[in-house]
Amino acid sequence: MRNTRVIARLDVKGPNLIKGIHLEGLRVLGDPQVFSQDYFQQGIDEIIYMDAVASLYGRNSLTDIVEKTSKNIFIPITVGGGIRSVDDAWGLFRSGADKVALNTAAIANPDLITQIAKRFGNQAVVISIEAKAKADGSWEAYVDNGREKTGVDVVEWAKKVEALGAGEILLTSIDKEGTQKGFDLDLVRSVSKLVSIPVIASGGMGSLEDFDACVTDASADAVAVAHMLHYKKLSVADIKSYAMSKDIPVRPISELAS
Amino acid sequence: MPSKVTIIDYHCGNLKSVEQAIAHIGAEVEMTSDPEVILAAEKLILPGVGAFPVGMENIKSLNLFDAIITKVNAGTPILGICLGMQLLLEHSDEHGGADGLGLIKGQVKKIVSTNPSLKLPHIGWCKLEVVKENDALLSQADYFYFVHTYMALPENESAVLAKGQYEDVEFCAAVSQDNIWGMQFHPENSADAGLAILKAFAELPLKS
Repeated sequence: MRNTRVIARLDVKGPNLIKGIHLEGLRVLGDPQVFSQDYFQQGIDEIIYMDAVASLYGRNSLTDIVEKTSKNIFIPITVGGGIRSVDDAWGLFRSGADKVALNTAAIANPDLITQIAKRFGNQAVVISIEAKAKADGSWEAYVDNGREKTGVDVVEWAKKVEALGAGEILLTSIDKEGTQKGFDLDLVRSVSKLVSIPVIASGGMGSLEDFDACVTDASADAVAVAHMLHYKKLSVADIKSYAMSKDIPVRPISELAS
Repeated sequence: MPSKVTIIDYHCGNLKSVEQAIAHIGAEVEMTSDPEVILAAEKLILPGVGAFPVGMENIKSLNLFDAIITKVNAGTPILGICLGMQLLLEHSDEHGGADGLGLIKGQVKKIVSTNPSLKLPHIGWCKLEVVKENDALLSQADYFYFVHTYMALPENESAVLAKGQYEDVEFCAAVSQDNIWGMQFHPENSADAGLAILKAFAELPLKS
């Protein structure tokens, strides 16, 4: 058996937690540390911080937030946005990150994946893929937080990043992100069945049934939740007790532990 | 009263997470790459993520190998975490293979499943089966956070402290032998259950 991870994804701009739709139209929600601390107390399995504007400015401004967060939160923290070199990754690990997520720089320079994996291990490298559906049924990878197309096919890219040494894939559907209309199940299934590294599905969760479909039907190894948690439409306990009721193994939170 | 915990910095991985977790439980903590500091330590943590051969190479090039062996043989408690646990064993097959510290007899090998579509690394929370009774650090069958592609195969069953299960694969999740402990999971990333282990380690009585 394996336990499906429930991950809180926090997109951050400057000092603020933000939330958009299709990764755009960003709205300020508050202090990311207050949110992540709350999720940790509730029993979330991991935290993902994404600097939403980092690659535009060529730097990640999350170092301070990560440093403060990791003082009080003792679960894995993944940090993404604007990481362009092994040194950038090292700076985030030194601040308390456990994994780094790469997108824009990895597309521009795939060798960076291998370099970071060699230095810090494959498990430390998460490749973030922002996917947008095309008319022919395939998906194209986007960079700069869903702003720029690359011409790169998502499924081929997923296979390639695994070969280059990525330990995990964070797969975001730009079409579904922020819509609460459910995950792009075809996308999740296509990537998850193809690669032999874990896939975190992100973008679109609007109900508990969406969670079930994403894991049971589309074979996601982990699910990233943003909107439903940030707007307090669901608690971590809601998601985990639902998962257990559907025989999806998860790490129980303490109130649910038998 | 917790004693001072010395984290061995051999330039592999998320040391900051380990340091902050130790500080959080109220123990004094230092990080060092200096063999003299290691020789003066009360308790040692060998953390680490990454590849086994690189880890061993760094330990040797920083002149830490002899210092670690000397201290452990003198009875200083040591806790290996993840790669740090694997390094306690004699040899790993990872990336062409390399010899480890040899403090615990056995090998480190890649996780093998009958299921060809098994995802690796094994990433996630796993409930342990604690097989040894009355261990000073690990007594409860709780959930812990794992990230690994390789697993330890101790030669003596008596060194196995706990087991975990990932799909059809049963693996050694923790080892213990005298003053030596190794955890395949990350206590620093395993919420309260993990902090309890670090606290118990920091509070182990010192050898007089």
